Amino acid sequence: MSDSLLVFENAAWWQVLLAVGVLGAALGLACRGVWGALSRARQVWLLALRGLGFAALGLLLMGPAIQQRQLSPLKSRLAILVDTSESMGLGGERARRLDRVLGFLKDQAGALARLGERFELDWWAFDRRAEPIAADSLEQRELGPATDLIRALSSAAPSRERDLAGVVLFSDGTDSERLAGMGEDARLPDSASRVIDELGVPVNTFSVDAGGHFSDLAISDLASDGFAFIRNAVEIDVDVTATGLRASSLPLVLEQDGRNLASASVSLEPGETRRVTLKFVPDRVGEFIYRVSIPVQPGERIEGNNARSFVTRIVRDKIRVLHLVGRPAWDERFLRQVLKRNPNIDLVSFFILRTLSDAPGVSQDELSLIPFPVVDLFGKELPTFDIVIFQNFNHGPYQVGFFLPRLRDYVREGGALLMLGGDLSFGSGGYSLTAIEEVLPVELQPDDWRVQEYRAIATPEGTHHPVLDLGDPGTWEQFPPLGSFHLARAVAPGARVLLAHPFERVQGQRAPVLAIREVGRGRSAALLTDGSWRWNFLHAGRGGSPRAYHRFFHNLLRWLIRDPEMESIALRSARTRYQPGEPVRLSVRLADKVEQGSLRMSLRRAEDGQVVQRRPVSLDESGRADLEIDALEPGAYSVRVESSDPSGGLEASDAFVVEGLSRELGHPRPRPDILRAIAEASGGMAGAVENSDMDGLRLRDPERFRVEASTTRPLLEHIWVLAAVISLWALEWFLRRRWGFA
Amino acid sequence: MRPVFRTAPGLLCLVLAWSTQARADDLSQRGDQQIVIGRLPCNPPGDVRSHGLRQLVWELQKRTSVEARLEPLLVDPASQAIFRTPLLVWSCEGAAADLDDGALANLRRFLTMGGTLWVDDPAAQPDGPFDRSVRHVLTRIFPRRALRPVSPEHVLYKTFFLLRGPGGRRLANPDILAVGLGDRLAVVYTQNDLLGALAKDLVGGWEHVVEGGSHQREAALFAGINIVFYAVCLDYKNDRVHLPFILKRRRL
Repeated sequence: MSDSLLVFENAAWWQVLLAVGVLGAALGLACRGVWGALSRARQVWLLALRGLGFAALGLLLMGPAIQQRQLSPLKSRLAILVDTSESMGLGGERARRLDRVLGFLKDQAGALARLGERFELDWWAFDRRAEPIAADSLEQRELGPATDLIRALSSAAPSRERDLAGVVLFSDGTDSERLAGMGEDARLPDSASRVIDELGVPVNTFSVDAGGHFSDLAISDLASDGFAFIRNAVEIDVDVTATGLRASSLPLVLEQDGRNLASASVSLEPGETRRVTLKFVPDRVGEFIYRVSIPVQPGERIEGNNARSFVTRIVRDKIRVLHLVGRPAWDERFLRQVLKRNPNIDLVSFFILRTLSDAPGVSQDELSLIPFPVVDLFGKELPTFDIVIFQNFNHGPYQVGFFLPRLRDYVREGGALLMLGGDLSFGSGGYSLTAIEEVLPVELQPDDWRVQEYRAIATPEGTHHPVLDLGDPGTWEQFPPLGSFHLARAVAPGARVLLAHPFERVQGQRAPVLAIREVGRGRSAALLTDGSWRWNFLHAGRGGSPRAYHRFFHNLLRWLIRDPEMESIALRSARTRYQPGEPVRLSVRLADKVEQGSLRMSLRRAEDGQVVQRRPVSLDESGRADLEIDALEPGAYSVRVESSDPSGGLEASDAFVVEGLSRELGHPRPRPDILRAIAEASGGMAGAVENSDMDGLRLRDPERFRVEASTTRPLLEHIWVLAAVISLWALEWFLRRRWGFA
Repeated sequence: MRPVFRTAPGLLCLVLAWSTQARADDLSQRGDQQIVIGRLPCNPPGDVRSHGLRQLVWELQKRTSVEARLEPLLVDPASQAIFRTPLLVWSCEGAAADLDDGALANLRRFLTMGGTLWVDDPAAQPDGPFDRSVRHVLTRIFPRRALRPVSPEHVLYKTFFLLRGPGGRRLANPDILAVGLGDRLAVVYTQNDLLGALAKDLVGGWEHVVEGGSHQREAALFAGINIVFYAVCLDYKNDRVHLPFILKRRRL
């Protein structure tokens, strides 16, 4: 096939403009010469001839040429997209959806061959992303965890591509991304409609498994914030979807460690998705694994999507402190100032301002005193406190003794207790052989109160402990002497002494002044003096800063509530949720100067508590280690790093979930309606692999050619062109002379 | 001077005084649990209102859970010793001694770091020599902070007793004055000679006549105890948990 074209070889835009300008000016001059001197007919003749002459001259300047081309026809591209997401692996008793698509393509080999004669067939596989693939590799392709139909169309068919004849899309229609929320009304979101408009070609869709019966009950979506505040209601939004079955009053249960936290009754009609909000109030701080589940119903296609685990970090919004004071004095006054000034502390204080032996001498109405609500504080309110502080507080006169076992259990179950000294505290306060002694860091003896001046010294362990980190290591030597202490009978097992008396001894060791202890899930601390206020006010009087005192108590309180920053060792999972097959990444960090001994990591499956992996942890010079765990089975896991020395007290834990099912399988129901909507919006056809063929595809088929060869011949090479131009000018000259113009 | 041992009641008072001293010795075993009140010196040196202060502490121990040493500790405002006694009392006959720069700086640091200064005018004479000299010293310590009346709604009026006024030997000013630092009163100034209203001689008789009678004397005692409680407990009585009770009693 060939054709000819007139082309202008010198037709630069400025040349054309210049030629038009010059010729126009010349024509104008010519008009002035003949205007009014001849009859109108002669004027027209002369001017027309001169105009034609100038035009012919201009054309010649533009380099007119004849181009002759040899053409061959060109095929347009036909994009064929095949869904290879996880839902295409579903089949049940029938073949997998993907296999049914591949079977259909084999059956349609003839139609494909005919299409191949007209178009370049461009094969793509897609899940969340689309990528080109050879048609014969589709069967081996690994299934992806999500489907994004709109993104696949955008990738395979760039907008307004001229050589694209159309798109053929094979899918079950389960979209887990942009079309996931599309309702049954088959209305595409505006953003999706825009993308399809911009394609500018018909999209022909073939659904699979559209007519088959599909029964499934799924937790199709779960929304949690990832963190929540202790003692504040946490809301978990759970989407439950019923497909092909009716659910009647099924219990949707939220659990933690097998403990039922919340539940709701769910009833669903086939095809319905219902959002259920489960509420619970966390009572402990930390990373916890929660599980939401709904019973598996007979005939369900997928059982794994009836439960879903997630990890939530419970944090404090404020540290709630109960401060009980047996008698107002300077130590109590300055500690209260620390607690009140900290905006992160919600303080509840009770100072005993009057004992039973005191006689105010006036009626109760003239006093500002209030009853001491022992039953409320140590009854229902106790679990709401993060820390309980007994400061020179004797339990005897206030019937608190009855509640001491409850306080002991509160500490063991994750609470914190700080006891400070005074003549009403520790052994002198009657706590020896009580339940509270079981959780204190020291063992008590009666009448342990001693008044003497001494300077507390930091023990080797205390020197490196974050509680005693006051910024300047020399601060402890600069603090003024204390004026009192309790001589403990012994240090409790597992307790650590951070500050000690310089010369008093207990069981051959320096007597403790500050001791701390891990008790069950809780912590306790004992400051066996009432003179810590001297580290504030007396220290300030000597030119020191009261900040050291404030920092000490903040350190102590933060350690008691297990503030991660105060931990000697930290363990963090890079994420709380991992996709199936994704490696789990953990990092371990050890605080400076801590002697760690040897560390080991243990990984435990939450469901049955079984340890699935144990390995030593080697830290680098900076005290860090990065761990990677591959190929974990789906499920929730808790991971722990601890020192091989049990008395070292070094341990940290975290939790994460390895997803069992992709998000896609939360919505596994075939959605032919979505495919139909795409086809209709683009002007394509909508079919199904079960009952359609590829002969009726709607495609754009523009005639397109490739130029194989071309030749160009300037018009000036044709003598007749030159003769015609000269003739025009000669005739104009002849008539002008004839009609009286020289 | 009154004969002390002339009567049987006098002997009884002697026994009581002895027993009180014995209790004070016992309290010395309480270490920092026993509050020691510091007293700033006067010029010329004198024991002004020491009986009133002793009586206040005695009443404090009898009526409240606070333990305090009966005898205040005379402290030098220029020394670090004032930091051992976070509550200082200053009450002098005539003009208070002007303090040198070192003492002023030390006192300023004392007050800024959390100490409390209670000034009581034994003359109960606003614009008298003591009043003028105290105001002069306070202006030098805190040039930009003035003495202002304490609102009856302030926690000072409810730290232990529910006060209606400051009381005192002579009602020269119905208000308590104070210098505030942040949300705390660093200087509390009573101009009605509170300590004078409380002062007793060795046989237990009141040393001074109180113009308003026993109610005014009692009010002085309550105000004194509240000031000590304010120094030790700060704004404890402003805690949420106390408010409903206090509001109810205020309405009675």
